[in-house]
Amino acid sequence: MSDRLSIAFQGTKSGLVIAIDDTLPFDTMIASLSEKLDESGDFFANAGVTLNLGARALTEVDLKKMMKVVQNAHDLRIVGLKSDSPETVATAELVGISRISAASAHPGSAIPAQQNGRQTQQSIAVIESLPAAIIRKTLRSGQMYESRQAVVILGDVNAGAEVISAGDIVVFGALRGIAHAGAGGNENCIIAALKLEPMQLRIASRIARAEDKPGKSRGSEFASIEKDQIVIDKWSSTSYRLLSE
Amino acid sequence: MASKVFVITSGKGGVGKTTTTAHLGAALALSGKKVAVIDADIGLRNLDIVLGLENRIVYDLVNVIEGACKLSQALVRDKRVEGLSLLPASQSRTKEAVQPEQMKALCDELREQFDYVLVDSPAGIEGGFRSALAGADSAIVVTTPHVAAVRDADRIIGLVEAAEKGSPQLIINRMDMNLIKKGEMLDQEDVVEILAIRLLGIIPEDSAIVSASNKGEPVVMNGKSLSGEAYRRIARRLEGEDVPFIELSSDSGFFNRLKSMISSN
Repeated sequence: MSDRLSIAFQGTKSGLVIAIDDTLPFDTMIASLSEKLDESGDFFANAGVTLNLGARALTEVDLKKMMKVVQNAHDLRIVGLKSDSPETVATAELVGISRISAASAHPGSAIPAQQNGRQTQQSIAVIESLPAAIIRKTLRSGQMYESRQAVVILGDVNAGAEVISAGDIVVFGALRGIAHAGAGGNENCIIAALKLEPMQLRIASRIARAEDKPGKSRGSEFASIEKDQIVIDKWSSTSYRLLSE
Repeated sequence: MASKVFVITSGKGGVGKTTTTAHLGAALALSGKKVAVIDADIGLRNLDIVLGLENRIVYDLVNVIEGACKLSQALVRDKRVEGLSLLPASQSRTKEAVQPEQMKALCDELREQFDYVLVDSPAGIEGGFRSALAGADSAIVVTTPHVAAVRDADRIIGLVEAAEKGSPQLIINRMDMNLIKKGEMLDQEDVVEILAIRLLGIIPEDSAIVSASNKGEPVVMNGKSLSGEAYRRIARRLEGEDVPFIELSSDSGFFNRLKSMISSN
């Protein structure tokens, strides 16, 4: 029971971080994690979770077992992983976890202070944890699409319509309504559109609204968070490089 | 030829559903088709006034549905336009008096006697709209070039598509070229770009429509008005003809209008 102290939960801007002491034996750790998640009740329901595993080395079987424990609890979803173990990082890439970064603090004792994955030096890979959902239609006023996956819309998102995704949102058409990317708290998500003329953009917990007299879009653009603000840039053929910095 | 049932709808009120139903119905009838127009705005009956037929109503749609009369007894024939019949709404009842299945059965019965059935939908997205939509094969969405009307039209198009009635066709009503020229109104391209459905026609802002509606004489019966010509062309497009759009200019002087009518004929 005392082991439970070695598993720390902390709500952050980018969602829930679960830091797990890397010195705990695997089976004990799984039991404690499960117990602790049960205790939390619905408190973290639907949250995006980043696991901080410290230097723990995990095989694919073990990592999947661990993900199952987390995902079965209250609809939590794993959106990222912090690890100092090359083996665990390789495993995480294999099972398709996004936002893998270094564990920048000792797990169990403290939660990593910085949450911006882009600034992490040892950032290795940015791959989506889930395949993208592709919507081949225009979302019209009053219609709403919500997904845990990244969302690609082959059509327009009209004013009065809303798209919500735990990942990125890409609109191959005009975005005139509301888009909320990184809805689980992931601030690294982007919103891109061939015509970006939205009413509102939301990334993680940040909101930007259109100017009161918006101009017309001048070609493909994307929104991302820079220095705690949603900023809009032109989307060029090299823009993707910024995303994996 | 198999008959077609269209619902004329818009979401927003006051954009010209009833006027469009009346004029399109009259234009189709004038081209030799047998047309029934149904007023599905139960409790807020208007179509009879626009067509100038309110004095002839004996039975109404709710009477037919409740079995108080036969369909043929409730249909009011237009004496001026041969082939045009009106099934009036009840003024004393509410939308709840008609269920979608009943509307569907009614439309199917009318199909057997008419080439076209046009259902004038009430405003809104609730039960009244759903009933009006139930019997239709597809929808004609009416909007004005105003942001609020376009937003509601977009909502309605989404509902029509969700009801698997196919992609609706669009009529832009009350297009005011003077306001567009000043940049104070959405233009035709803006509206079509947002709604992204087939444009069936554009009706210019025309004071003749207002007086005609009050008099109960559809402008399509008057050969001169530009709006009447616009409705006649929409009727031809529904018949599958490829007709050019009327050229609208900001100068609405008579000679310019006449010139544009002649040149686009």
